[in-house]
Amino acid sequence: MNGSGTTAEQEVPAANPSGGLFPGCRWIGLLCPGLGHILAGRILDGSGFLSLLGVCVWALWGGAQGYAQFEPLGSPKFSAHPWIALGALILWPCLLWWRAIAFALRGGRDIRLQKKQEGVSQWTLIRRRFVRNRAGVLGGYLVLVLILLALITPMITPYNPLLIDVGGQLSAPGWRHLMGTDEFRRDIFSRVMYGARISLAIGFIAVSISATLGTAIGAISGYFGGLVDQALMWVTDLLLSLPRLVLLLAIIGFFRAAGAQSLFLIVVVLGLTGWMGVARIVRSQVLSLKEQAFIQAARGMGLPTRILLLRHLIPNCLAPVIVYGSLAIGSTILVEASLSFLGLGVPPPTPTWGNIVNDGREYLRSAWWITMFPGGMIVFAVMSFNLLGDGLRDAMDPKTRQTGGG
Amino acid sequence: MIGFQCCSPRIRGFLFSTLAGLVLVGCKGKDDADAFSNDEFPRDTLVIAYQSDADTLLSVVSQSASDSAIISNLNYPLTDSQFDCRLESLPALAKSWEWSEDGRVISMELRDDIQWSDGVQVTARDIAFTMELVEDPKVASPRISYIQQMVPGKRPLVIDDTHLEWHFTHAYDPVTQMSHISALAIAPEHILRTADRATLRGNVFNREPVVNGLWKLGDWSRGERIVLEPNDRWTGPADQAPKLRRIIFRILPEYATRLMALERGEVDLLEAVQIADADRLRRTHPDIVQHRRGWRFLDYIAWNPLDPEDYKAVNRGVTTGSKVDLAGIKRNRLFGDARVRVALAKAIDVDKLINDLLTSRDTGERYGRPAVGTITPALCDVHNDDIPRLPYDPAAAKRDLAQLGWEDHDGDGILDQDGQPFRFTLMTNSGNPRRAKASVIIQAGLKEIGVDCRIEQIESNTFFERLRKKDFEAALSGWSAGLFVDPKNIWHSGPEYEFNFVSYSNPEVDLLIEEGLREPDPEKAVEMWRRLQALIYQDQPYAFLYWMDEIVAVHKRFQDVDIDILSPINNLHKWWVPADEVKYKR
Amino acid sequence: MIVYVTRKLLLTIPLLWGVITLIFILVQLSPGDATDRFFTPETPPEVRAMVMEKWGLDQPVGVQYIRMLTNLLSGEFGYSIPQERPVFEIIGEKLPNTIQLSLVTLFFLMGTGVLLGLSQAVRQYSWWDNIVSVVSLFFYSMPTFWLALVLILLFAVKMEALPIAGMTDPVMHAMMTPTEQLWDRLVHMILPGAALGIAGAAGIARYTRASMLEVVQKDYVRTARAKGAAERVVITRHALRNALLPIITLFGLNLPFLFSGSVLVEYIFGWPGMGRVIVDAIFQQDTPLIIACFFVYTLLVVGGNLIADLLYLLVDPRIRLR
Repeated sequence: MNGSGTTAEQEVPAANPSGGLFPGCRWIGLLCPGLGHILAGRILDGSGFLSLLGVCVWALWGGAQGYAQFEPLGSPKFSAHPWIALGALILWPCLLWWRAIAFALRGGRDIRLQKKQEGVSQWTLIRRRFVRNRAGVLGGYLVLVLILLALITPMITPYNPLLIDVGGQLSAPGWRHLMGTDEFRRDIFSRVMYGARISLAIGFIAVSISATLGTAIGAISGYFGGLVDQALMWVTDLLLSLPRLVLLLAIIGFFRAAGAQSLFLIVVVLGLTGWMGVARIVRSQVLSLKEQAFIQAARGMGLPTRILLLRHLIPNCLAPVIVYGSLAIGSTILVEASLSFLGLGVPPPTPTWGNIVNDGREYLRSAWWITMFPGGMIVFAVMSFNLLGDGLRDAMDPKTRQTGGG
Repeated sequence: MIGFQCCSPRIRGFLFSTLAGLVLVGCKGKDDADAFSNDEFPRDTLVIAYQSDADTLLSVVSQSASDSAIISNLNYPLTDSQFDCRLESLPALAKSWEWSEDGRVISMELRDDIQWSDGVQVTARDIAFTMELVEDPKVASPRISYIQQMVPGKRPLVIDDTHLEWHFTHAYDPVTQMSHISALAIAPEHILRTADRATLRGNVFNREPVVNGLWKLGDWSRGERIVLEPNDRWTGPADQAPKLRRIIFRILPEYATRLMALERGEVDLLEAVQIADADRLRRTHPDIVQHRRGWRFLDYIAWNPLDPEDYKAVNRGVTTGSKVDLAGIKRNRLFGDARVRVALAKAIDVDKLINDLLTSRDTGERYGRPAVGTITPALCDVHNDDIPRLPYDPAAAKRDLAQLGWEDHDGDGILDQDGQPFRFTLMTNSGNPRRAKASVIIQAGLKEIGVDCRIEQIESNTFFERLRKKDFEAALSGWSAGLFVDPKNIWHSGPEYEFNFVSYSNPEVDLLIEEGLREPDPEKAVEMWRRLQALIYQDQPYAFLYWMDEIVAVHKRFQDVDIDILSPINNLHKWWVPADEVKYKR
Repeated sequence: MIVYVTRKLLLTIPLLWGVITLIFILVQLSPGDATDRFFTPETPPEVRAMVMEKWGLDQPVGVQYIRMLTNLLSGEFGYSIPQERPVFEIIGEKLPNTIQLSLVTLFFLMGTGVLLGLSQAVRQYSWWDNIVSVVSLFFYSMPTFWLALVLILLFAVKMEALPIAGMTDPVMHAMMTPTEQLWDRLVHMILPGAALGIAGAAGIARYTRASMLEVVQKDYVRTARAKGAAERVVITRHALRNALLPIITLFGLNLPFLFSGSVLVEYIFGWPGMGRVIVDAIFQQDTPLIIACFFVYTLLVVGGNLIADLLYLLVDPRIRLR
């Protein structure tokens, strides 16, 4: 947030070429990824690495405690989870050490500064601008931590999220139950962690659907123009003029009665109602790109439309789509929670954040922890995605600003 | 700091005037005539929190609980109901009544001193008109089935202004019959004679209803509140005149909001308080008194004795309307045998369910009790306490099943027979946390004896639809108890009873039901009902779980609060507040 | 300008038609209909047939569609099926409440958002700027219903400063003087308004800040500074005016967002508005009411955008409408 606006451009990068506290301190990073960064003065990166590492250590500790649940957890949906966790537990430390070694090898100098400014790709430029934006980087690390937490969930949760009778009824947070228990004596911490998986998955999948759809519609609309454009933009305006939550309510409310599979239904419907913003952005990008020389040239060469769209136009519109996507994941998580509130979310007992808050609503006065912890996680996740999205936006195109939508 | 200088004064003016205008919209100044200020009772206001608004004030078309709560206070009933172990009818609008010898006709005499709030007298013709509305298919009254028990042309037979006769096609249990006819509030003929019957629910009558009860409608802002005031044109017995200044039903859809409003004192009465909240309120709010309503709600597991697939297949070939011959349908391989159902009942720990779900953690008070049938324990003499409950005994359950050939042959922990595992799906409706938890406890109990029960939560409407279509193996569901005995809809094997989800068919039970409903002697009827419960319990068509109680919280300043199983707000005219505790002076 | 307004209004006709058709298709695709609630298993079939005929539900879908469109063209919105009341009457009762809440919230969020954003931009990177940034991001990321419950808990239950719910005091409102009544209404609006508007205000603050920072770099602002104008004058006269222009368009863009939020806020605060009407209508599959609600929503959103455009025109004389 701090680096937003055009002024970020004028800042001098805050890298520390001298190499930190003592010469060679960056090599400490080989022992413990992140420590090298911190000693070299890159506090933010260092803490990010350290917290990711911490989560991994936590998972190992949890595994050693025998938390790891390799049995299918009552519902077939959970059966594949331990393998994802194991994979993540092997992959992520490798990744951390690789980055730490790379950092050490760079010799404390920021090699990115040495490269000449011209001749670098659009993506390199974006990366450079992004890493200068502390808030954005922070958001990035938070998102990574969230994703890692969601991946290794079975290793750190001491209880099965669906299992009842694991503790006292409505007992307050404590060491045995980090976030307390609910009226079914389920462990809220385990539920919130598994909820992270489902809520994040809903966010990612729904936004992928809407980003793909929006890009396709926007590109087609912008490229072909004329009647196609008018028709598609008419649909876009139409959907934009309806309150999204009410539209979702209508669709899900009508189709729930038909007995449709709800998790699937909700993800698809969220995806199908979120593409309008992307479509508009991509359309305007395509409209301006269409006039540029290289597209005109490619056209002149008789390139087939399909190739022109897929190879030249769409790749050049991706930057704003990515920005929009990272902001939309946050709002999708919020909308999913609102649907749960109205009783139209993912059906119980599957935990999602929205679901847990909804379950705890009746106990707001007698057991605040049921609503407050998952609610806090929603805020935390949405904030992380918004920080990341803002950072990406400033990096990708300092001149475009959106309000972020709702 | 920088202000709002961007806008020209013109715009600012516009903004503010719009704002003010909007805020003023709906401010209706009301000259409240303090009609009853010098009365023997100090007047106070009772605020009741309700989950949903009423839809209509016309009893003929009313459907929701909110509707009947309001309507019952606006209208003087034909007979008053009182519940103390059994439902009793007391004289109200009907001064007296008499049953004929054959038990088919009631002749009734009405009071002549009850007037509509516009001064017109309430007569027998109003009652006949009300029944005429119920009968009219254009009205689509949910009570249309009552009519079919009455002789056409005499629904009822009006003799003069104060005398009428009800003629029934069959002799029937008098209590049931009386409560049916007095459940309906009377509609004023002189007002509604010309009303459009196709849109009665939305008739303007709702805005300014002409009533004949103890209360009148003071104000109804839809979705917000309904205000009742004492009916100043009340001409009936003076001792029944209300002692409160007004009653306000506040519509607050969200439970957490209702509860917080109660704690804050914005609301004086809240129904269906959660047990955990009741515990906390007891500690923090000594000025709130908790009442129990009585055993109203039952949870049970219905076992489908038929094979759902076969039932569907047979049903498909049959045109709608005509009924399938159930005898020809394949039995369910698990629940077709009563001995299996009995064994399963022994593996369900009802006491644990009650302990976990329906017991206060502070006081240990139990808000649930084990059930042995669909007749509520509130009907003390009818409810059969002598039925020996099947004990919770998993070992015995396992033995029983082994005798029937269900043993774990392949060593996977699940019983099997002829290579088929003992596995079934227990269906329950979503959005009911209590049942969700009960289903999980039951699942764990069955697992112990090697029965694999899978839980499926289904959206409520679909759930009931599937129950009705008998499209399930086992279902965890519930009933709200009737306060008169009428087991026909649930247990009679006749084809017209669609609530007999489990296709229960026992000729002895059928006969008992038919005879019991016609039995004029209450003592004999009680014996029959007790026998009926024992018979049904033997067959275990359901696994009967528990009866549940409901907590109603009321502020302690109200005196003579009489919360009964019929309704928490049945006797509001008796409530009063001592002078030094009056909260709302105006 | 009249031409512009007319053109915009004409363009809403295909939009409305699209919305109505979309909703109609959705309702038709879903199983069951609004008359289900009238029936019990014992309802005789002839009563069912009569009710279906009464509401025209026995007709083929095409006929129902055409009939609905012609009715709408003649301004006939029909009856709510479960309530048997004119749709117009139901919306008439609830719409003013929603508009009251939305408009007050809208002004609140615009005002607060703009002020906060400006105060941040004036002292970029100060501690104030940082704190407001973090706090507004925090609120921006909060689920509306959760915020609403927390607000009630804090301000109404713990601090006992504000009423818990409702539009007016249930008991005393009728006995108040007009000024007291106005005050009563305002007090009841604070919590729902805050729950509904805080997220939006945070968004506006972020937008204003960025917009302001961009404008400050423009040549005319530098010129003004170079001429030696006081900082205050520079900010208010030159920068602010131009920075606020794009924000006016947000006026209209925020409306659908507010209506979404009002569904939840009205439920929690027991506010009798459109949000609850439409949720009930959807659950009861009350086609005429659903269609009328969406019709009204669309009109409001289009109208809001139009007003925003016109305001834009008033404030910025450079813009010519086509």
